[in-house]
Amino acid sequence: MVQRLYLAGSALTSAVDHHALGETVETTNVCLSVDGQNMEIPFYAIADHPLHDNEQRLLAITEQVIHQAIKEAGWGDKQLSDCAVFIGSTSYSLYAAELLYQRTERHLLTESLGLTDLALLANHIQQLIPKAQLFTFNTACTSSANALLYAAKMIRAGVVRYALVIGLEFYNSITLLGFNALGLISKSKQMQPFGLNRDGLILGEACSAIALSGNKPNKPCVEFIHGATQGDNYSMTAANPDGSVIEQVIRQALNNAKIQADDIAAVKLHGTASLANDDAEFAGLQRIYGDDIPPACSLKPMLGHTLGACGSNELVLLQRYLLNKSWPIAADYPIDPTLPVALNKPFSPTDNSYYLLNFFGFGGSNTALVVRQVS
Amino acid sequence: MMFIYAYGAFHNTVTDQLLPLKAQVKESSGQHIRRIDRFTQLAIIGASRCVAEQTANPHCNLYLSSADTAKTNTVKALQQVFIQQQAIMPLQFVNMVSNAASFYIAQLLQLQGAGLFINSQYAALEKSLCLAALDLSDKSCQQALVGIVDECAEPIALQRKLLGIGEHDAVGESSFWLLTGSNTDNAIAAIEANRVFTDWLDAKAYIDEVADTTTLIAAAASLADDQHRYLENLDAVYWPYSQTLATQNGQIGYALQPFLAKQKQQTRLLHLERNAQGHFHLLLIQLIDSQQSA
Repeated sequence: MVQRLYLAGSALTSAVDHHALGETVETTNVCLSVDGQNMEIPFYAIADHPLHDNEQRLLAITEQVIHQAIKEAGWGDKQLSDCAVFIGSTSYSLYAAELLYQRTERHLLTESLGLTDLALLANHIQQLIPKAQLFTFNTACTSSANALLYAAKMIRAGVVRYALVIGLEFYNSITLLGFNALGLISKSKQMQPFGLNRDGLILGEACSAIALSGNKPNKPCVEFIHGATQGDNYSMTAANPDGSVIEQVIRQALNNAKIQADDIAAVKLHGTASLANDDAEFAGLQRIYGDDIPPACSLKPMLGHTLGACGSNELVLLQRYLLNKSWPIAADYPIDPTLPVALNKPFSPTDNSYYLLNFFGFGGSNTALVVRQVS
Repeated sequence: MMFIYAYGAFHNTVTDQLLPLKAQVKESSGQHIRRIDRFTQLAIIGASRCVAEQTANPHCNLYLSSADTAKTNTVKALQQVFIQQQAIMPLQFVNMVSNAASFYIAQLLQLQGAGLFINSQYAALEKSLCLAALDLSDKSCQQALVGIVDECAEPIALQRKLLGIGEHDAVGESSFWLLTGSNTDNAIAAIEANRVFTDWLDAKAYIDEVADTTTLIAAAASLADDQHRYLENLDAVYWPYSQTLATQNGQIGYALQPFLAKQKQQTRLLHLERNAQGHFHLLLIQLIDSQQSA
């Protein structure tokens, strides 16, 4: 039975493309018009592909990322015929459905406009890897983290030998307007997780793929150790602020990984910069570590909050840092003194260190993953 | 092996209009739950019926599957933004979150396990059962509440278009749930196999091996005509159950519910469906004699 699993190949297309690790990433202002008013909402757009294009954009980006990850893993027909595909997203191809509405002449807009475009991406991925069984996770911001978790379970159970995990979240107006309606978008247009002046998040789009396998690549890589996911009945839109459920899911992930809390070298925070999320995440970490929380980072100031795709997107970005023996220092802003997390302190990753990755989502979905950097 | 302790079903035949479900939600859950959409209402009715007589363990994971997310909500939002050019309301957006229904069920039933929402146009329940089996096997949970919800989108004309049926044809709407676990105590049935075959010859060979006169073969409408004919000619009892009412993905509930309710003479059910790639999803369920399992 396969016990050890590695990120044999990976790819990420996001707002950080063309930026050196650690460089500041600029946001784009998206203009939307509703209720007779125009509004500008900041957004982290994928660099290489014009934002307002067509549905082919979604397919092209996804296809490119999948091919890159498979190529890096050195997979061919043999591996792909013993592979399952796990996709995580919240909006899938909602943008394609939006385009249909935008393109159709007003007098032709009827109830007969279908939703079949919502399945566009999943169907396309299935065509790319026709023999694979496809699992599409839709658990809000934990979607692709859960996709990875179950991909690992399926390999370890011996159902398949290989798994391709795909996280995708593409620009669409409805998600932007929805988060705006909830008052969660930063009015200052700056995303400052755990910051003293934090006032919300900035959404982003990105697509990533991870080729997961029990075969260790012949180069330094990241090993997927284990993880856990747990429900939280406190609120539809926020984790329990006392941190109890976050503590539980992290402890369960550590337990599954067969390591102690002190074995964690550093934490990749969920860190959305929303008031409720950061408070709850700090409370959860404090319950485990007291005042001695390990060095931490948040990757959302580089990618934006990529919602259901943030699990795989942030793991792939973190992997780049770890293999580069560097650490993302995103906090060039004052940290909230009531949430003393070491976001702005230098840290040097070393071989065989363990890292904790947190992901929390709407609908009471919380997931924690543990990975290790191996030489 | 995965065992079934209880099932819950709600099937609705839609002809002219969608009738409200508030009364059924109240009757099944015992609570008046406000401000939830139709998809969540359907999910709550089925899940509540499933655990009405056999309470779920708090360490029970929840797996909700469907062909789509809440369709009616999404269509409304698209029309609102792109036709009426109106803003989206906060609660409306929250209810569009696909795992909203899972959250309400977990809160209602006080479940503390994980909640997953799985989208699939084909074999959604089978895929959820597969993930549940992984969690039961590695003891991530003690029980698994697994369901499939098939909502009829409003306007009904849209649902008919999605299903490719006539403008006056009836549409099926359903919510079907199974309470499962890995312990045989109090089990009413056992899931003997939940397999995928990428080739009809392999599927056929497996069916030939397991299907006998005690087996009811529930053949989904997605199978090709020659596959239906093959199944019809076996010693097992052929049942093209899904050819009477058009549904999007929840057809399987129409087969499992009467079988588990022992309305059929056979003690074993083999459910077979085919996806767009020509893969075959096979679910094999054996009823357990209550005296044996006690």
